[in-house]
Amino acid sequence: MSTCSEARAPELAALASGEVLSAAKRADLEAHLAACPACQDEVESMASVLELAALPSTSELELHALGALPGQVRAAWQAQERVRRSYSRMALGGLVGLAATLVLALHVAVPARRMASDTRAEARPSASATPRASASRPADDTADMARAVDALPGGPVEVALDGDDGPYAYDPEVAPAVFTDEGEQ
Amino acid sequence: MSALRTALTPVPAAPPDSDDALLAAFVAGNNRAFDELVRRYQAPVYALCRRYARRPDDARDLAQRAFLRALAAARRARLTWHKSEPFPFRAWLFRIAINLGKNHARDGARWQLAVLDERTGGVDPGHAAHQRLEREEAQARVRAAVVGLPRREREVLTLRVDADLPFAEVARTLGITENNAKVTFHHAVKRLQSLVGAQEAQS
Repeated sequence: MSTCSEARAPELAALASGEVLSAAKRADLEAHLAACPACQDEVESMASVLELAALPSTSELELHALGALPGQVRAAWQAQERVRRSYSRMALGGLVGLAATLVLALHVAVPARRMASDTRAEARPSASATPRASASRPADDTADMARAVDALPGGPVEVALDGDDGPYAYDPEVAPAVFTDEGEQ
Repeated sequence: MSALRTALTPVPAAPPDSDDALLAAFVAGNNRAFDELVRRYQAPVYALCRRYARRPDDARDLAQRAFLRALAAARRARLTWHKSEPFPFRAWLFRIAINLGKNHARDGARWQLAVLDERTGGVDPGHAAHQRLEREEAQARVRAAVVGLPRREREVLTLRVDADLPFAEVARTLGITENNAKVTFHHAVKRLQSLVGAQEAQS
């Protein structure tokens, strides 16, 4: 390719492709082509290749079918939208189902866990019936019992073990003298 | 600061028949706007798809898919489109059509048959049989070479030749300058010439 046609490549491309040029541009280019056989050959060569590259013109049948394209595209779009909406609904349903399953699982799992921990707590004394653990157990039981007695409505019941003013104090006059020393004698 | 100024600048309302206004109406569920968008671009989109299709049905199917994809993409993208210029629906649509066509051709290499099938009816009946055959072979070679061009050259060439867009529109669609589009077109044609020349030399 000559330097001239390289420099004028955009104009030659426009001319060879049939681009509509302004009157001034066209006149300028035609004047140049009249004086430059290299550029003239270049334009003719490009035009012949483009002629081979061009597709045949659209047939009547194609034009007729093309008239129905908007309706076909709209029908396809609406079908696509229906599918998209049903997928969205399915996804939403899936999410709701997942959330419901999660809530249900929490409702089942939390009480079960609490029950398991209670069972463990109940099972602790028998499980701790080892010699080492039992050493501290009586002290704990005593403290628990004392706290339970203190919590009774009337307060702790006074039981006198060594006096004679309690309700269950030993009275020798009331008690049968079956096993007295005198009777035996 | 300039970004803030841009964000605060009120976007002028689009003309009622602009792509942007039609897209807004379409997103709001207006079927007439949908039809108008398709009708407006069906001819160039179909022409772009024909390049890669074996039969007219294939081309129509490709065009339909291009519209569906472009409309879905536009609906998504318009939600986050904050630039001052309108959404470039036409550029998206054309590029989607070209890419779909290229993928279609790559999947089946169907264009080779398409060229021969479609061309038979359009040849001048005055030609002698061997001349017609030679011409058909040359056309098949060049058309096959068009599909095999580098991406940008193929885009420029098909937008100019098949969709019949002026270079200014080709440049806008591809986001390049008009001069760049013309130079790329020139390179594409030169590449086709050299490919055809090499094949002729081989045969």
